This record gives sequence, C-alpha cells and structure tokens, in this order.
Amino acid sequence: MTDHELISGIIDGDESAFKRLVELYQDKTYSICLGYLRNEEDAEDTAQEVFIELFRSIYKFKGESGLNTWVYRIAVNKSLELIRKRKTKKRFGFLNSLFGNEDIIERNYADFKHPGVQLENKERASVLLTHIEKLPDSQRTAFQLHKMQEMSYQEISDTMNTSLSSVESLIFRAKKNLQKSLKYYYENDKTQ
Amino acid sequence: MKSNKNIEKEIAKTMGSLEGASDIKAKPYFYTRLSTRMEERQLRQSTVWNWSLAAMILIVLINVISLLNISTETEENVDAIDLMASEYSMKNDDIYNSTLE
Repeated sequence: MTDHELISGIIDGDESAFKRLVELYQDKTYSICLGYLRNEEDAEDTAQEVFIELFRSIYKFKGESGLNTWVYRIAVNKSLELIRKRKTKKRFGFLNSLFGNEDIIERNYADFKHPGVQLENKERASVLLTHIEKLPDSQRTAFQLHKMQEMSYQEISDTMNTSLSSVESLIFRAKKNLQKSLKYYYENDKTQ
Repeated sequence: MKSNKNIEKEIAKTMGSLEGASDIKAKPYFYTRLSTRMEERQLRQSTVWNWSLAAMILIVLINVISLLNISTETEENVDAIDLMASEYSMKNDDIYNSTLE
C-alpha cells in the first residue's frame, strides 16, 4: 500500500488503512517521543496523541513531503509541547503545592535509562541525555533525530522543514555545545 | 579530578553512547490501546455535545417563557392603569379633549 492509498483509505473511513499506518510508524514514533520525554508512559501517551492528531488532520496532508516525515514532525512537536507543559507546571509547582494539587508529581528524569541503549552505555547515555535536554529545541531535535533515530541529514531537513545546510549547522553546533558542557561536567565530577 | 586525556576519552565515549537507541519498539497492543482511547474520546465528546445542546435548548426555553410573561404582564399593567385613571377621572388625554369654558 502506498502513502497515497493509505491516506485515501483513511479519508474514506477504512479502519484497516489507519491500522496499517499505525503499525508502520508506531515504533519510530514511540522512539522519537521516548528520546525527548525520557519516560515510557509519557512516550506511549504522546505517541498515541500523534496518531489521533494524524487521524484528525489527515485531509490536510498535501503530499509535499513523505508521510513518514509528516508523522515524525507531529511526534517532535507533540513531545516538545509536553516538555513545555512540564516546565510550566514546574514553574507553578510552588503555587500548586500551596493549593494541595497532588497531580503535579515531579519525576526524576535524570535517572532514566534508555531501553534501547546497550547495558554498558546506559550510565553514559543517561548523562548525555541530561545534557542534550539543555540544548535549544532546534539543535536538540536535529541532534536527536540524527543520533537516536539514525536519520539522514535529508530526512532531518524534511522533518524539520528546513534546509540541508541548516541541519548541518545545527548538528555541528549541538555537538560543540555538548562537548563543552560534558567537559565541564567531567572536570567537576567529584564522584569520579 | 581526571586528566585532560581521560576527560576527552570519556566525552568521546559519552557522545557515542546512544548507539542502538533507535532499536526500540512500541509496547505490544499499541493499536488496541489507541483505538480504545479514540473511542472513549469520541464518546466523551458526543456526551459533552449532547449536554451543551440540552443546556442551549433550556436557555432558549427560559428566555421565550420570560418574554411571553413580560408581554402579558405589560398588557395587564396598562389595563390596570387605565382603569385607575378613569376611576379618578385622570385620563391622560382628557386635557386635549376638554374645551375651554
């Protein structure tokens, strides 16, 4: 089934076409969300929201880019949206605790161990993810899609809707910034 | 504290530590959970829509009843005023109808 056939099937109300689309992209979508959110429950929730959004707005798909890049773009945006919400909650956490709002539970994302990473690399990956989180959104997205999703520069450029040279520059700056912050981290790491 | 060489080595290892991160799969029955969530949301939305429609109809009804009541009350009030005015010979237009003596 081609992208076009899948989309026309979904628009015509064919449930099997939607199921096929979900099965095709669920792993990559979940993986993208997990890379950003560092929590399996949040990643699953957000991946589901990606497909709900896709289902709602499928008629908007014009076919200018591939269906895969469209799905991944929604996944990136939804993940960043949740991160922004988390930050807002954190900012107003004090007020919420005053009013006894128990829903705001701050998770310790620093302890997250990525399930896809090899066992001997888990600690280092956890450190790297903490430092990636401090990068600006665009640098973070380009770096994560390249390193964690093994996407080519062209795929990243399509997903981020930006030029190839911008992607190169973003990844270069992300690497530089990460090396700098990791150097500072290891130089001041008293536990080593 | 570590030497510069060790730190460089550590940074290089850390930078390459995410290898294999793309090899993860969504949990089994992802589609089943997704379709349940979509159905629940649709049901919730239709319930909200039904309640909104019922509330709107109720508001319109209350308004129509109030308007009808007000117009009947106004007519009754005008009748009562006319009656009182004629009883006390205070019809408003008397002054225009009366002739100078």
